[in-house]
Amino acid sequence: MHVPDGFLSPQITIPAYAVAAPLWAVGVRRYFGRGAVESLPVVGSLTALAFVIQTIMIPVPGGTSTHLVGVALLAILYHPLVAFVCESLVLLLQAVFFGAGGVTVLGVNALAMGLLGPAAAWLVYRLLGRVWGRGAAFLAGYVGLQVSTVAVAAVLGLQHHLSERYFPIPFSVSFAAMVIPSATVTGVVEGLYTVFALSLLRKAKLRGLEL
Amino acid sequence: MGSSSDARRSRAWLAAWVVAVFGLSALTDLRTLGIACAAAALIFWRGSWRAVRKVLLSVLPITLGLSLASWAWLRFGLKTGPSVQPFLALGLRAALIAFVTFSVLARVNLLRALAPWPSLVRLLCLALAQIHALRLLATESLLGLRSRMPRKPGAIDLVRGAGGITGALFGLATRNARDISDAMRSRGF
Amino acid sequence: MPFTLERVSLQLSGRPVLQELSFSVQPGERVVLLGVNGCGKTTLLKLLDGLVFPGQGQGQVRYAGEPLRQALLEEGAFRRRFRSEVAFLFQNVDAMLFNPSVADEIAFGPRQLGLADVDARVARWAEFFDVAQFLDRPPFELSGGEKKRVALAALFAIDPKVLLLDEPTANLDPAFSARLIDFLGQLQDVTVIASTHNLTVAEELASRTVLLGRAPAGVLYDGPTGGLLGNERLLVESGLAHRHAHGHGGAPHVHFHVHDME
Repeated sequence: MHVPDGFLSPQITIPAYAVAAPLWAVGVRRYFGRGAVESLPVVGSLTALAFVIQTIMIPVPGGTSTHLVGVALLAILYHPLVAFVCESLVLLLQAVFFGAGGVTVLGVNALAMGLLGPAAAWLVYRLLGRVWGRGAAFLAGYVGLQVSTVAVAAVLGLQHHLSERYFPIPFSVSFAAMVIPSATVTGVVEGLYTVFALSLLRKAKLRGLEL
Repeated sequence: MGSSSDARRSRAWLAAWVVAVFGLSALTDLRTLGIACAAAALIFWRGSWRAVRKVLLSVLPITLGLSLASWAWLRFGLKTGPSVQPFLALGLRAALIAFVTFSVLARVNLLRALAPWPSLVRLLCLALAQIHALRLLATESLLGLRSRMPRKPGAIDLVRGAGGITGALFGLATRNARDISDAMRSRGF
Repeated sequence: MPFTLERVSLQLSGRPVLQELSFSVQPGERVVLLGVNGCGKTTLLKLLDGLVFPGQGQGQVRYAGEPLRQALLEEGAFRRRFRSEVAFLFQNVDAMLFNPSVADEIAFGPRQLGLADVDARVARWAEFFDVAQFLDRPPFELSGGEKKRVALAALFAIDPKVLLLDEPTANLDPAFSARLIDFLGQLQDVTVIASTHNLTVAEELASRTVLLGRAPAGVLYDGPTGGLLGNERLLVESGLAHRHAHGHGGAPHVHFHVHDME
């Protein structure tokens, strides 16, 4: 879940930008640092890919639906910093062109959903991928989403701790509201999706975009 | 000349918007928020209903849901007597920022405003163009899945299908990126 | 002469695509590259546009006598001259459109090349290709046919001497397709090399055809378009036609059937 604008004060959102900005610079320079003719199409295409994956809705018990995230996949196939740059652009596009998401909270969302979660997924897959194939892929997708969710809940909890008047929703409520669905439903969906997608990409030996 | 003054005007709107949303995100006092709402309604009166509708659909459900759950938990679970005001302020703040954002973006040609940063503009154009192309493939592939199944596809069917579609999306994204790079070189970039 | 290919072979991702191609194109000539999908027409056009290069010992492509090499195309003066003279219409038109408005898209080439009268060029070619009403819109919002017309306007805005057109009539309605073919036919002193798999379009586009075989493609025919269209053996060998066998009430017979895909 993305944090909407208005849930976090500048006390948190501005330092988040300060943390994210140098990481964006490192990610861009390291992975997309060639000439514009090479790098712009690759960044644009990967960003579009992540964006479109996130528009795919899956029905879940309860009559609602969840959308796929897919950023763990980018982290596993390329690197967490690649996922971070692309997801940050996705968040920017969503906020300014599609009226979804938030601008003041973009740094926070980018760090939680674009870096911490995908980095956890990447780590899980690196550690277990060789010995446990599909299980590792599932766990990577699942764990990645849980880490993102817990990160968002933690930031909301921090905001509540800094000022109950600003954000009156206690940590226990935001944690439960976010983590329970994530751990029981959306994480499972994301894990399964990661298994199916990775398995097909490996089978098809899709070389993908070279960075 | 007309388009460069448009671009300057759009940039001014964008700068004001960024300052405004960060400023609004610091407010907690209901009265100040109320005054800010009134000012926003006056400034963005034209087309306000469209913006309000978007706010009602996008931001309010989650804000209301979380607020009600919290208030109920605090009142009946922890048996504290929570004040309603912070919840109202939270809802109003989130709704106001969203309203201002929707209203400003409807008035601004973003790509033209960002003209002083041509690489960013080109990147955004590339991404948006690719989103159109990939989304078409994804939508049609999902329709294809539905049309080939004797029953309505369930969650597992769709997740498996999405895995397959991801392969197609990767393939198309790869081909398009190479073509775009070639086309940029071909046109003298 | 604009282009000479001398025994050019090319592999892509380890797969042979073109094999020992040799032919040349004179300035102002109109040539169709004909062949089935996947035979290497696009790759050949990319070779001519200096986007891919044959490997060491795999032949040579010359433009106006100069061998087209990667190093030469990275050199400022030659690159500028080449890019201002040669314009390539991609089959995947989406790849060509990366500017925020149609006006910017058409102006892109002239601005990159430092040409004069950019606004006049935009107005003229937007009018000709019937996209003037979209000048303020982002190209990616347009329909396939509209994007194609924007791409064509963008190419013509630089007044090229050579047009490399990959399936130029694809996605165009018949009326505009006919208008484009007529327009190409009237161009003076412009070399046109266009690819298609459609025999009807080939006949209308150019009096000379280079027929490519299936990949790895070699040249099966290089001559008058009319001469090729009557040659059943070559059309069948290249995959552009087949002999269709069926029966009427027990009496079998065979039709010659051309694969006009459009």
